[in-house]
Amino acid sequence: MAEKAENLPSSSAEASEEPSPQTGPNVNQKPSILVLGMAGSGKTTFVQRLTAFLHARKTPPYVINLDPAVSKVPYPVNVDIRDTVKYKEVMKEFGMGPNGAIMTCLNLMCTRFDKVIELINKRSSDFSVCLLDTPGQIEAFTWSASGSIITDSLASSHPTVVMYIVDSARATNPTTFMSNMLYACSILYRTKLPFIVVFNKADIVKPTFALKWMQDFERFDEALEDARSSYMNDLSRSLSLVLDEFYCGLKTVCVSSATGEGFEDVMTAIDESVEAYKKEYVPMYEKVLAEKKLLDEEERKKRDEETLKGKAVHDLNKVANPDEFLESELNSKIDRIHLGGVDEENEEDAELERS
Amino acid sequence: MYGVLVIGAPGAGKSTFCAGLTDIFSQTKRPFLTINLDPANDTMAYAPDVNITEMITVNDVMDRLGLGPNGALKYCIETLGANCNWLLQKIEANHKKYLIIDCPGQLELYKSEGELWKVIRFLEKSGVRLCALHLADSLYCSDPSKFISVALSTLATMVTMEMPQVNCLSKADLFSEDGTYDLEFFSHLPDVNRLLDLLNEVPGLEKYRKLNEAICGVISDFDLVSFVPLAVENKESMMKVIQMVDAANGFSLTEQGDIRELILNSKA
Repeated sequence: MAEKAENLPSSSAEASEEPSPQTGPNVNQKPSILVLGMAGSGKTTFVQRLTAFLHARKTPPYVINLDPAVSKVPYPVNVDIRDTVKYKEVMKEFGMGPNGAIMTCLNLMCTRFDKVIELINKRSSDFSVCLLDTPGQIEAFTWSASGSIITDSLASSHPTVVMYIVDSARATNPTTFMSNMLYACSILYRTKLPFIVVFNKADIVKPTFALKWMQDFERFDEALEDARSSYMNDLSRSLSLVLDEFYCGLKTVCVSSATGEGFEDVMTAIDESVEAYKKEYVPMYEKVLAEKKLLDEEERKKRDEETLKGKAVHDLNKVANPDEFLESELNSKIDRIHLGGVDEENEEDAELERS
Repeated sequence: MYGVLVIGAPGAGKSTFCAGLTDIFSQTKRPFLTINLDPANDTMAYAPDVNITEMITVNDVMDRLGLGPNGALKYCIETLGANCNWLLQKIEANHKKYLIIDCPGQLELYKSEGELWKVIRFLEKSGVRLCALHLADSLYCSDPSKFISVALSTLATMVTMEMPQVNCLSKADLFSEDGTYDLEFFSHLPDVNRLLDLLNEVPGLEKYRKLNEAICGVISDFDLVSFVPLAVENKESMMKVIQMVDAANGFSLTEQGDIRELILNSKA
């Protein structure tokens, strides 16, 4: 069942193509699911099981692997970062450690991510959902510029949902659970995208304890009281109240990637999140786009004024059609404006031939 | 024994900060011991006195056991945990020196009962008074939502570390002054209500008004999530951070001598 991984176009001509002007997300396109989570939470196994589940339903997904350091990918992959950048070679060539190499690979992939989005758009009719498996080191993705660019590129193109995988077996400690949820909340604030928390490894430890903690603040506080030291008492209590607000409206799913339990719920949560994307993210994106357009317009006006200020006084009597001359002269000037300041522009003006 | 535990996400500038500390301590004649606990950190701007790579390296583990970088890192820290006495012996051989401990960036290592968490608890029980210094890239303070994101991840480490913590916004010299917000606003947070208003204006966060309110409440109530701008090249900035760390781990009190001795002397 292994599918041929698609290669990204590599010719310089293709790479330098002008991107089409951004018109807003295509809400009718199939959603992309960004799978995030701490190291060892079971992201890759989750993607494997979800892929198998979707294939069994005859609705195959489009799968993208963004982990350059993984040795084997246990699912059929359509786009693989390892085909574009070689992790071990990056380590050798740039003299980097594993962390630096992962971030560099992501940065390099990021420069071609517009091509990945083109591929997703092109294949949209052939798949039910696009799954993106991220690197094991969550920090390498969430706290890097490339991670933000990849997330924003997807979100501005079509419906995108973040899935945060939690290892149920390790979340039984209330402090660890709180830390995990704070980090999830942190990612929510960074991405501002529909968010699903997936409690994985339900076959090892039933995550009912987590759901109870999320629904009942008092119960969580009792568990915290037993586990914590007095040093963090008040802060922990206040933070659990903060998290109580975070849980309101948060979608949670309990799954086992080993047994396949709970994956129907995952699909339901995805559908609900896509609706949330359409209702909340798209208007937000359009608002941001309109503001940007306004700013660009103001910037252009300012530039035009600066250009006119530095304009040489011409003897218009010598010109057959003064209006036409002024317009062509102005256009040629605007083309020559660079990112330097007004002084540089004035110096350029001084070098212009005076008629 | 006193020391600082330098933590933060990969690329936040931990090793650069440690190198800056070694420079300043050399100039101020403060005896120090640099310890690198990141087995994947092989290009450092300073020469560590104690290095986990003397015992084990990520690359070796990856090659020998066929593990990925994550598994290898956890294996290395577990190995360190099993050989905590090796680390303690190295520290005790330099017991008069101030410890600068450079840590890995992976958050899961610090979780309660996590691999590195156990090592830190062992050092504390052995009489090492530590203060955590959490570095976050100041470039993430370009807007309020990203700042809150930084604050939340900082709180996540504070809760699990259970020790005094100083929070810094590193690379402050690279922060763009012509942005909408200046670094002072985020580092001192004198006006949490203003931050709340800004958060509620951020597109996409309107529906999280109550959550915004709760987070800002914690920030103002505890005054724990204040950030110090840090530019390693700037001596004043570094000295300010050092003062805060010394106050947090109790080193600044050592100049007065042991309080018990002072009491005994006054009675005599």
